[in-house]
Amino acid sequence: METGKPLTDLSYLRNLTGGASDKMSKYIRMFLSGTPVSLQQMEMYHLNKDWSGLRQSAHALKPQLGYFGAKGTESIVKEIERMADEQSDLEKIPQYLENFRKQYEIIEAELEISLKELGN
Amino acid sequence: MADRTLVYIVDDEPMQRDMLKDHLSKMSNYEIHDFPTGEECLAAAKVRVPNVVFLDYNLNSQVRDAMDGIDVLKELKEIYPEMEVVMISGQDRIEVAVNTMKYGAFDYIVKGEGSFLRAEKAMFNIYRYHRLQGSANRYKKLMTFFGIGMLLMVLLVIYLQSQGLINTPSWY
Repeated sequence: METGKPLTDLSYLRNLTGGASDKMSKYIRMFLSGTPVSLQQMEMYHLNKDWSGLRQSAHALKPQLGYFGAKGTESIVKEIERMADEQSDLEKIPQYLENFRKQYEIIEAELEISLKELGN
Repeated sequence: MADRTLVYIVDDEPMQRDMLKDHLSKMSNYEIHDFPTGEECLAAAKVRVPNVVFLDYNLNSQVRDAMDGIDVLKELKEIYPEMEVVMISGQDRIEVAVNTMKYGAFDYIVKGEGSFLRAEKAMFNIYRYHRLQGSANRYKKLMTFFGIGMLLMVLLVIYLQSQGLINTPSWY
């Protein structure tokens, strides 16, 4: 992982909302409250070898990461979705989940700062 | 379509629902309601039939035994064939898109950065399609009336001739 370079980029969100800070804050809050739940679900599905559940959770989360410009993290989740769907490279999933968790911690910190900047 | 277009959004992801709702509300004076499951949308449609439904393909990320998008699409189109359904999915697989079209979806949108603009365009295309369909129906009706009118006129002439009330033209 590169250091110093932010994982998120809010330009798409800014463009979509026309820069409306209330809307941007709302979406950031929704993302921050929903993603830890999805991550926990994905870990649980992995433990239970519920590949369909894991695929579904990863699939649902993927576009949201894109909206926040977290392209690198989106590709990790995309890969988890693929592995669960094809039930291949299953031994790699824990590493990918770990990477996702680590990246999410950074994303969360970045978005918290953005929330403060937006002032809502 | 009604004066104020009634739009239902069905997606199990709250953020996705809100973003689409906010975006479409910004575009036009639509009346928009959103639902996390297809079951709730079907129940609401029984009370008020929407003009357009934006329907997620995968609806069971939160409720595992929830109906999936294709089943909701089939049921909606069976009960309300006039309703337009736009399918939304995170999958960009062609077979998924073809499958939704087979069951009567008007359009298929892949979730992602371009999806909100695509949704806006789908609304415009639905509006244009219904306007053209309305014009085609009016033209069809007009042609039918014209045909019936011509037929009645011919029958009248034949009747009048048979009664000797008008003469057959000399050139005939």
